[in-house]
Amino acid sequence: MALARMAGLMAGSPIAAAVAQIDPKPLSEHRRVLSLAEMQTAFDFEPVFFGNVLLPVYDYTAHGDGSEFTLRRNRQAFDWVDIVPVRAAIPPSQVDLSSELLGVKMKFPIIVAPTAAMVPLHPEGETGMFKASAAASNTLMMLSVNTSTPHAQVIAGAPGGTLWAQFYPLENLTNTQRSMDTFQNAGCNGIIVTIDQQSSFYERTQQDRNFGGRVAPGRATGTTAAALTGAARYRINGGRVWYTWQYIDAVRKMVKGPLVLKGILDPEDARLAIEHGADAIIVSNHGGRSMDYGPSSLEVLPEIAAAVNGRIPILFDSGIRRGTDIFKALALGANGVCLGRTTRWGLGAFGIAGAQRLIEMLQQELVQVAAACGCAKLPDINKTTVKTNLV
Amino acid sequence: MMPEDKAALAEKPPAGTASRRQAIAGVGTTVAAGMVGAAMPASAQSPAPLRMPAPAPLLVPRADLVNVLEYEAQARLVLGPAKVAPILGSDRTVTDRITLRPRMNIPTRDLDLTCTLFGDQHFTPIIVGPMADQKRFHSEGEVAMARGASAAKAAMVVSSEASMPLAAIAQAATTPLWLQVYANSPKVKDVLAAAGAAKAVIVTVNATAGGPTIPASARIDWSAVDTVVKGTSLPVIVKGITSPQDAKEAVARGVKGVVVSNYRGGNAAALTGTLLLIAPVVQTVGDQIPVLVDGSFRRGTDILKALAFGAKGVLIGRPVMWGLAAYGADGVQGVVEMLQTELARYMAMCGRPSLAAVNSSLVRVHAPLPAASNNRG
Repeated sequence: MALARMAGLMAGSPIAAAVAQIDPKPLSEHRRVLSLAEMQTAFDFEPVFFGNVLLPVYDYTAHGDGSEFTLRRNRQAFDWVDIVPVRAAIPPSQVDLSSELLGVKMKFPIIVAPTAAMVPLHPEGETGMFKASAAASNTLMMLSVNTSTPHAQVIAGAPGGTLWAQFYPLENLTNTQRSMDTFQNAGCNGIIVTIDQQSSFYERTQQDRNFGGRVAPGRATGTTAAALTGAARYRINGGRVWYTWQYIDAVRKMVKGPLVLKGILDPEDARLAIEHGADAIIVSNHGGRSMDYGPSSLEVLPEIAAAVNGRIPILFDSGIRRGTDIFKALALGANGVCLGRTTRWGLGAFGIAGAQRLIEMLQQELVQVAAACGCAKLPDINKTTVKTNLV
Repeated sequence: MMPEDKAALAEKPPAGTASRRQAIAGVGTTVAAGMVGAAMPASAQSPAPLRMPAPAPLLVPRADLVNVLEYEAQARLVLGPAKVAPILGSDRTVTDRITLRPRMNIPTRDLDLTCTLFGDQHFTPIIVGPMADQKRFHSEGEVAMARGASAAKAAMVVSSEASMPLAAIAQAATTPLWLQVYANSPKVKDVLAAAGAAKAVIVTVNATAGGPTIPASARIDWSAVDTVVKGTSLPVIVKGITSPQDAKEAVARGVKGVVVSNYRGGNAAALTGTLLLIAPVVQTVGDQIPVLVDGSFRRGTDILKALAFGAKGVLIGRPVMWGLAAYGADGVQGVVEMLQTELARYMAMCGRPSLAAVNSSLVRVHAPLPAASNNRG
C-alpha cells in the first residue's frame, strides 16, 4: 500500500524522470497509436486511418488527378482568405448555425460528401457512416453510387436520418430511370448528379501501387489507332465524355425531390445548372480528383456565388479540414459544405465513433470561429467577415 | 560494358526486376556500382578478380510509366550523370501560375486534335523538336527518333547538326520532316540543297551551333534569315522569337511561321517560361502566320495552355530525348503519345472538342504563389 503510494508519487517526480533518462528506450520502440480521445484536429485522424486500411485504399482516398497541382491548391487557397472579426465575440452557446436546405433541417451547414466504397475503410461501411452522421446532430449524408452497401440497407441503419443518393450519368435513359427508382424507392429523396471527372487519371496512385493490369491513358492498347475515331484516337476512355445538358433535363423529369449538380467550377455552368432545373449546385473539383491544373474550389466560389445570386443554394467541397475552412467557404457564398476525405479518415480510423467525432469536431470548430467573430446566425457569416487575397 | 552493348540494352527492356519505386527514383544498386556512370567497365575500377559482371540497368517497364517526367529518371539510368546532363531539367515556374477552366456537359466524344501546318495535316499540334547529335543519347540517334515520332503520328524537326544523314532519317519517317538550321551557319547552303524530303525549314536565330551563347540583347541577324528565305522554296520558320516586334519583322521578311522560344544554346540557367510570351506575338502576327512555341513542355496541360494563348503547335525537346535514351523509338512514341493523350484529356475536361474551340477563355494567369504557410495538409 505504502509502496503503491510511493510509486504514484515517483511517477510525477523529477527523480523518476532522471531515472528514465539513465536508461532511455530507443525512440523506434516507442510506437503507440493515438486513441479517439486524443484527436485534436481532423488532421490527426489521417495517420490512424493510414495505419488501419490497406495501402490501395489509402491511396484511393489520398490522391488526385495528374500532378495533384489542384489537390494541393485546394489547401493553399484557404490560406489566401483571412477571417476578419467585424463584431465583438460572443459565447459559443449563443451561436445557432441551423438552416433548412431544400426541405432538410440542418443544425449545422455541414454534409457528408458522397465517397465510394466505405466497407474497405471499416466493416461498418456506409451504414456506419450514416449512423455516425445521424448521431452527429442528424447530419445529411450523400451516398455514393459506388457504395459497397445497398441503399436500402444503409438507410435502415439510422431511422430518422436523411440520406441522398449521388450517381454518375448513365447514357442509357432506361438504366438511368432504373437507378433513380432504386434510389428513390430506398428512401433517398435528393439526387446528386456528378458531372465532373470526365477523364481523370490518378497517376500517383498508379506510381505507388502500380495496379496490375490496369490500362492507363496513354498506353498502347494493341488497337491500331487508324481504326479508331473521335476521342478514342487519343486513347481516351469515352465513358464520361458524352455528358450533355439535355441529359440533365431528362434526369430532372425522373427526380421527384431535390436535384443537385456536383462539380460546378464556372459561373456560366452555374447559370446553366439553374436553367436546367438544378435545385442546388456543389462547387467542387472532386477534392482535386477531377482535373489537374484546374482552380481550387474556393477561388472560384465568389464569382459563382455572384452568378447564382441567391437563386439556389450553393454547396461547397474540396480541401476542408478545419472549422475555419468552413467559415471561409460560408463567408464566400456557400450555404453549406460537404466533407469527403475527412469523413473517410474518421470512419477508417475509429469506425462509427470516429466518423461521428470528426463531424462533431468540425461542427464545434465552426461554432468556435463563428463565436469569435460574433456571428450568432448563419447569415452573419458573409463576405464582410473575410478578406480575400486570391492569387 | 561497351557502349554498343548499352545501346542494345536500351532497345529491349531488361528482364531484371528492381523495386519499381527504387528504379524510378534512380537509386538502383547498379547505379551505385558505377556501371552506369562510367564508360569504363566496372571491373576495371575494382581489383576483385571474381566479380560478377555488372547487371544491366534496371529500367522500369515502359508501360508502367505514368507521366513524361518519369522518363527523365530512366534516361539518367541509361546514360549516367555526365551524358544525361544536357537534357536534364524542367522549368515549372510559369506553368504553375496558370490554371485551366473546366467546363461541364459539353460532349467531346468526337474530340479532334488534327490541325494543318504548312500544308500538311497533323494528328495533333505536338511536334518533335530539333535536337543536335542524337547519337549522343542513343546508338540509332535520329533514325530511332523518326521511327518513334512516326509511330506516334507526329512530325519531326531534324537538326542541321544531326548525327545521321537526312536520307536515312527520311526513310524511317512516315510523318512530315522539317529541317532546322542555325542562322549564319556555314551549313545553310548544304542543308537547303539536301532539303528535298523536308516540308519546311526552321532557322534558329538565337543560338549558335555549339558556340557561345548570343546575348539576349543581340539583334537578330535578319540578313541571315533572308539568305535562308531566298535559298529555298520551302516555307521558312524563324525559331527564337520572343517579342511581337521580331515577329512582325519576320513576316515582313517573307517568313511563313515563327517559333516563340528562348532557347539559349543549351544553357539551362537561361530558361524561363515561354508561355506568357505567346499571346503578344499571336496578337501581332497570328492572323498572318502560325505561331509555334517550345520550352519546357512536360504535360498535356502545359501544351493546352500554349494553345489557349494562341499557339498553333508545340515543339517537344528533352522529354522525347529521355524517351529515346531509355527505350529507343518505343520511348519516343511513348512520350509523344502520353502528351497527346494528356492534351486530349484536358481538352475534354475543359469542354473543347476541337482546337478551334481552344482560346484564351480557357486559361487564367495568377501571381506567383505566396511562400508556403505552416498550415498542415
